[in-house]
Amino acid sequence: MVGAFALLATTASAEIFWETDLNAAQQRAAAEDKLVFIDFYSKT
Amino acid sequence: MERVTFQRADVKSMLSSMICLKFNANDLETANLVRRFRVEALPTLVILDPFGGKVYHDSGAPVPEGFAGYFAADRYNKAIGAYNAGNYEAMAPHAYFVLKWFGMTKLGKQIKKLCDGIKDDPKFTAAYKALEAKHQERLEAIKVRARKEKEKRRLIQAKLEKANALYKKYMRNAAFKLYRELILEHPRSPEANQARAVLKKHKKKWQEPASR
Repeated sequence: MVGAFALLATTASAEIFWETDLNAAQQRAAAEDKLVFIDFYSKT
Repeated sequence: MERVTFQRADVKSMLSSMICLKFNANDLETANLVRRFRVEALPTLVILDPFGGKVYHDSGAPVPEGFAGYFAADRYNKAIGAYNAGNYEAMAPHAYFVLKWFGMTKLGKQIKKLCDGIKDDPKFTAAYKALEAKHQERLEAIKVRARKEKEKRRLIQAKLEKANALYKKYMRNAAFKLYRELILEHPRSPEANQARAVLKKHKKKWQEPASR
């Protein structure tokens, strides 16, 4: 039960937050030492 | 990708450590970005390092099952090649890349094992530590630049506020002097534009800095 809860908590914490401001993202990437992932997609 | 790839736990885990952006390439608002990143087919995926350098840029969607390790595969292969050749010094930059950015993936874990096995090799350790130090140095330089920029913005805003306060107190000549200084010292700032607007309203002249 405890194991299942821990697994659930780990899975729930890994979420993707999509942003739309590239400049802000780049500043944050430098401040937090992270990569910036950009997805150019087509909405049809 | 939205319905399958981005729903996978391993993909979420990898992307949650990055700052993720999504742009509809058909939107008029994203036309500049589409040009800047030379998006010619969709989807196009781009990964930038914290310094704005391109780490990955290609079109097409990797298969969902391999997505999490996809972006590390090339550097992983290079690291393995150097490792197999016994050239641990040449392995270091590739291993550093995979461990630094994709350490949580299967490929990252494999590289970690290999690195642990050669951690006593002086050339590998020296090269790896030099890469870490260089990275930290570049991050620090960005932070210093950001602090300087913030301080500069604060001084410009303070000058404009002072000029506006003088203007409201009808100390117009003193205010105009500060507006002119703002234009000369920081011609591209939004504050300089406000200063120009006030001077124009009062039909006052000002001098633009000589173009460099």
